[in-house]
Amino acid sequence: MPSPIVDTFRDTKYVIFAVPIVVAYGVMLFFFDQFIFFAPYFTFYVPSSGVWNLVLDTLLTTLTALVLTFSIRQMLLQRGSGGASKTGVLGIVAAIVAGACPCYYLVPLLAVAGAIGGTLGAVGILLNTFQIPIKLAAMLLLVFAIYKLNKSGVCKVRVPAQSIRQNHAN
Amino acid sequence: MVILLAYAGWRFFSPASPYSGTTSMITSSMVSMVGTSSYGSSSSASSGTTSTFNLAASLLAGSPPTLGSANASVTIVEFGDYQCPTCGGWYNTQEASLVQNLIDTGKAKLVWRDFDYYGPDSVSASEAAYAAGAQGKFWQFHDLLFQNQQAPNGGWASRQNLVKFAEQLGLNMTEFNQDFNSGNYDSLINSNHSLGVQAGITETPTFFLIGPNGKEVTIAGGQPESVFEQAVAQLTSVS
Repeated sequence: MPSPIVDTFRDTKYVIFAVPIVVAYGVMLFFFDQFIFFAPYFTFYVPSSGVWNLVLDTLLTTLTALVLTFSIRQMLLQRGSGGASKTGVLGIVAAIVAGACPCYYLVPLLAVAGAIGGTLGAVGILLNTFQIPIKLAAMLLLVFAIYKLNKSGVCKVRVPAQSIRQNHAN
Repeated sequence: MVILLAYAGWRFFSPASPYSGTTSMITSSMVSMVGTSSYGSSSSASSGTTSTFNLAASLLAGSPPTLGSANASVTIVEFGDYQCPTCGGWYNTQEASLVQNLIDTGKAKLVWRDFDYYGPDSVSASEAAYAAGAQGKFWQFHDLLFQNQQAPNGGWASRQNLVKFAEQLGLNMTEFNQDFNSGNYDSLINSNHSLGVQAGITETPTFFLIGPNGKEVTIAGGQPESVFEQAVAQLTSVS
């Protein structure tokens, strides 16, 4: 029996749902990490020092799309059964939290603009400096979400102990 | 996700300048690829006055450190912070080829302007570079700083280390220390920062390429050297 995640992506409509997430989120991450430039010319450029970051961005993008799509599928399939739906919501929350990690770019940017500076700017610069560990942590969160979703997607049939005893007696 | 989209949109649509009439963003046609640097205006609604900010004139004003021939038709003005990792990355991977292909060939000259925002060590590094410049070694000191760049605010650009860099360059240390500690460059560093804010910088490094007739192209971020060659060719061919 295939695992629920494999089962999800056998269905074309979920693949179609996941692809735009990968593209949109990937373009944003590449843009923030300066692999893509839109002005003055459209440029895609990966410096030798940026290869590791590019790999992390790609993985983070893929995992986010997997978790979001998988969570939505679980929620749709298991509407009504409270526990499983909760896992679906948790998956979406995990994807949003992990997806928000590149927000650290906003803080130094505001510091540059002179809008805030001070402590918030310093925090942003610190986060920017440690972007690789932050991305790794975000990926761990997403992997954990996939594990939990996969576990919750397996159908469990509880047979009352009494009926088992009865079967044995017969 | 919403925040990211909003931010991406903002950065995409206003890459360099908050001024109305900005044409620094390159569009499909060649004519619109090069914007004039006489920016429309930033008007003050409260006072009812309208002031015109001429970006090219402001960027070329004064006598900032310049590398290359004074007769070069294109001026590349770089705004950077010695502690900024992207500036260091760009220096270490792109600047040598830019110097070789555009500066040494006389097609362009490179101007440095500080945009210090990483912390006090950034300002100290700028002051030290200017103090070295007083002895004719600004660019050597500039190179030394980027070659020795480490994590921001980690102490590599502390005042003690900057003095060591000066010693390494064989500067007259009495003159250097006097200059470095004089505070003479504070106003220059501050005015460069203000100019950067006025020019609408949203990241470092940001480069303003000013061609003949004041045409201007903005290159924001650590873009490859080939982009600069393309922009210089564009600026000179349009004129």
